[in-house]
Amino acid sequence: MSTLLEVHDVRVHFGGVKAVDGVSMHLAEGGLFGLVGPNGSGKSTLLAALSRMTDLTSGSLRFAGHSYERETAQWVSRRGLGRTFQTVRLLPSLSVLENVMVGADARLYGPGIVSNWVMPWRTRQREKAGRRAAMSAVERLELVDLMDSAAGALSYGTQRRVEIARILAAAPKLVLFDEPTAGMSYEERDAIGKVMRQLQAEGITQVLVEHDMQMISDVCDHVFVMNFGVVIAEGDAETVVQDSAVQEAYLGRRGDGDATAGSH
Amino acid sequence: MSGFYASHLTLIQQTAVVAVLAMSFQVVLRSGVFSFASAGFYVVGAYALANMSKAGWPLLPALIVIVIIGAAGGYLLSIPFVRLRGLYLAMVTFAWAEILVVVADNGGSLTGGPVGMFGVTLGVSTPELFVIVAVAALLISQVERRGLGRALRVISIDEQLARTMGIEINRQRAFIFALSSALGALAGALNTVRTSSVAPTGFGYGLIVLGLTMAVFGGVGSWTGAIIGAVVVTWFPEVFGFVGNYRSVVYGILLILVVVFEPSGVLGLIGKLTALIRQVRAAT
Repeated sequence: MSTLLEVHDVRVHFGGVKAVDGVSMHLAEGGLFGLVGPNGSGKSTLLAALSRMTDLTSGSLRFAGHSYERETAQWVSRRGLGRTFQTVRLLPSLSVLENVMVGADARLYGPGIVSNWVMPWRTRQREKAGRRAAMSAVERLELVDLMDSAAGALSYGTQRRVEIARILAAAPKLVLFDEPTAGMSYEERDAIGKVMRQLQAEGITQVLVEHDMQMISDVCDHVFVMNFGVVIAEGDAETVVQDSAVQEAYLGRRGDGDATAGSH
Repeated sequence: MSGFYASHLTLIQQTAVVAVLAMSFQVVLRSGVFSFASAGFYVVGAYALANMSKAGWPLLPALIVIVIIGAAGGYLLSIPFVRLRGLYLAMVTFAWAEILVVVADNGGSLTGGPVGMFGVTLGVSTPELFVIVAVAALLISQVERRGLGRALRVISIDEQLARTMGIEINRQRAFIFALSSALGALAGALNTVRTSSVAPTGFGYGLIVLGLTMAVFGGVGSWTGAIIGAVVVTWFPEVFGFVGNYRSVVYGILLILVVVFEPSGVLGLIGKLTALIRQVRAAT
């Protein structure tokens, strides 16, 4: 398998705070990666750097063969690197289907969406294609019955699913999930885990930031553990949990037998 | 009906002109761009038309050139302003509108100074005026639809999300800026044609208050809100003439009530009402 995302010695410093301080990672195409670590360990800043929401202090990024540490977030997104946020970010007054169509828009319309303004005949095909892509994403997330409801009126777990559908409509190569199951019930978590494995089967590479080690070990093939802005361990979930540095990071001391680096 | 039409012709024409001004405010506010720049271009359009009329231009070419000037000017203005948000953008565009009032006051033969310019010979019939407004409304309605409509909606609600969705925020904001400025210039030009004169009174602050009141009262969510706002604000003094000198007070109170209790304006009220009716019908 070829490398889809290459992260080389990435640093993000905010004044004196070294939020990310020399992270390198290779993400193979089609993998399902976990990214864990205590609060404040730099996971979210790393995601922000990878999606170009935050500028790097130093280091380089390569996605699908293109260096992109100087490109914009929009460029990265249109190349197929999607992400979700810790909080739900939908357009509450629009319907579920329209929210999901937003995901497909950038790919179909491109950066020059304004040029379609007074030429509806140019947009007709694109709207059709967008609706098709959105429909298929809505079906995969089992949202068909709700697709005409206003997104703001849905339950938290369902809104989360709408967000995942929106990312899928963008036909991404890589998706960064920032705590997608926080605040969900066990059943909802299981459903999201199932969706992720299904996406993996379709060849979509994924990075999952998560506090719940159970979810991580159930879903991910390869886990990175961060603390103080650096990767302190990586490997499959079982190995990582046994790692003494990881135990120290989570439990604050060495050699405690309880290795379930628990959820916060 | 025809008696009513004849006796209210001024008000009918005025409604059409301020509807264009209302749309110039609505189109920016809907996209979350707090710009009053169109009030500045209203002044540009108003004087440009008076001068073009003097130079013997026919109406349609003059209006087209003025719209192009407004759009190009708005685009140029967006280059330094595009990064500004909220109150800061409101302040600089307010200053821009006020600067143009001063320019108009001291423009020599180009503006006629404090007296203004009278006897503008170019005229417009009411049907022509309505066709122009309809074309403008049709173009504005397209901004709210399909991919472009969704992209602008995302920008107005959540810029960070817009970036991760591949939406070029600055490009869209520049477009909205240009569009609003073009509408402002068009409204100014039409007002000069309607009154056959232009003077540096009622520009700047007054114009911004008028434009904001119409757009917010009607509802910034759609161009129809701007039209509703224009009709209500223009006809209110006519229909409720008995409030007389307290008109401004009543205006202010109405605006406060709308913003506090129904921030989506009359449009929001209509939406809630239809939803309620649907509910009641479904229940019976």
